[in-house]
Amino acid sequence: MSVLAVVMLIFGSLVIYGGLIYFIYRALKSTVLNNS
Amino acid sequence: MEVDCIAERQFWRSRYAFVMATIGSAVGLGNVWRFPFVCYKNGGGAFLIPYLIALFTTGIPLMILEFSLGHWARGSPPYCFLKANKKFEWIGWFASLAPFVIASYYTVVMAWCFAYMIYSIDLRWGSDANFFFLKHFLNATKGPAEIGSIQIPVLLGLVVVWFSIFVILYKGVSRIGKVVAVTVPLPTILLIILTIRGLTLPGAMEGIDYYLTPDFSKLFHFKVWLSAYAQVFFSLSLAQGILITYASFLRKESDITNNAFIISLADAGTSFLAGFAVFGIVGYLSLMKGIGIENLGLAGPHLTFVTYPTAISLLPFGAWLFGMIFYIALLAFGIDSAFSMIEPLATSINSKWKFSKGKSTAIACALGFLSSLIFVTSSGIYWLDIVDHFVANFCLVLIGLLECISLGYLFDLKKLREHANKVSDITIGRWWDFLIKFVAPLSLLTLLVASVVENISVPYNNYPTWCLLVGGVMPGAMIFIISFIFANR
Repeated sequence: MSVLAVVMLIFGSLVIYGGLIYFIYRALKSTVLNNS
Repeated sequence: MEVDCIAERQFWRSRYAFVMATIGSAVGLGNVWRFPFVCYKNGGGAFLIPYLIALFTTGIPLMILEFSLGHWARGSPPYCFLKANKKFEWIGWFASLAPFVIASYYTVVMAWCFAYMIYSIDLRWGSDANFFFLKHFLNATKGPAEIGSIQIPVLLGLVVVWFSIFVILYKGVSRIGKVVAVTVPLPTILLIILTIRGLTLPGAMEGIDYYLTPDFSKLFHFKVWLSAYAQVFFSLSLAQGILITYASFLRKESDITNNAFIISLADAGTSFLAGFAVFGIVGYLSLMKGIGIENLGLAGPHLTFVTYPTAISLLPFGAWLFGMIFYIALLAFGIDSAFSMIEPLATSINSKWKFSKGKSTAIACALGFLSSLIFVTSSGIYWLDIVDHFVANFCLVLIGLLECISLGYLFDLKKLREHANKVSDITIGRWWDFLIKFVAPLSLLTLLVASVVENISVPYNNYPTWCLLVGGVMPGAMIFIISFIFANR
């Protein structure tokens, strides 16, 4: 794999999966909304 | 049960059920057979930049808009638009009928997947998957003008698919919640298995290179940005009444904004992952056959029913198993999207004419099944191509545009923003109004104009004009007219 492909892999993973984990974390942390 | 605009109002059992159902609706066959190819065609890894910008500036804001409308008005799409303005009910009908048309051919592709899942047992496509698919399985005619006969294996698969949709939907959202608890995680796990298998094959890294090596010069091409906005728009189940319907089943104190972020990123994450499953195995096929990757079918039915089976046949061991895994994953991805396309119409019939949920679902499924029959004929693949092209590029984009204009300019958008903020963990500011009023409609209008110009200059795929009128223009015009008739009854 080329270096640039690896860079884009890391970039895509960080934004998409990092973002997803962050918002799931916020949902789990939310006290008001867990039951709805 | 609470009685309101929907005869028997039900609620999601949990936030998890709603999020899973909406992810299931958004994630479908397109994530596997469209995104990786679009990404590769439009600059590889560099495409992620316009794609993510489109996701955050149009996809997520529109999702928040539809969730807010459904949750605020708490009813079927026509009812929600009616509540916003008495003159808007037809937009809700238009949004409910468009996915119904999509479901009529989407279920046929699922029927193909169902047949191929069985064919995987003995790798029935043999050494020439292209011949098997077009001549043996579909018995395809030379063009859409030559209708041909109904293909029994496809018809049997279609009966199974429509029956499954009916069984899942007729009891309402409580059953949907139970189904998606399986059908959303399962294909994701299967996709991970396929990705790992693909990446461990020789030649896989060359495939991934094709997928991800960025060509930043493409970022200066207008078409690449257009493709990014189109990909986001078509992938998130926007403008189909689905998100409005699903949000209407949320309880009063349910989050909107954070859910929209989770669902959109889960959809993007599945697409991104699918690229590895596709390009890993395509790289292997390219190495084994000595054919350049660019010369292999990398998208749509060709990828799914020709390229992928060919690659599966060449696997050193467990070929049948990976074939089954692939088609089961597609079926599981597809079924959530398929029933979500029927739910808006079933809910709208239920709401407007006070039929029971079972009866309105039966009506929608029976009409859907009958509409699917043309795609089961030997010319079905051509009609499917025509209807898909026109409904997606014109009807859905037009509905998205109508939503932005009706709710952004002819309704107090602030009301929906305040409603979303009242119940959500993450609050949205005036920037959201700006995105709904200017960025989203501008991107959709550009998509619409580009499609019109493209289709006027060159007839789509060189099909005869009458076929384009019958298969492309007529369904769109019919649902447009029916929307007005239903709204005025």
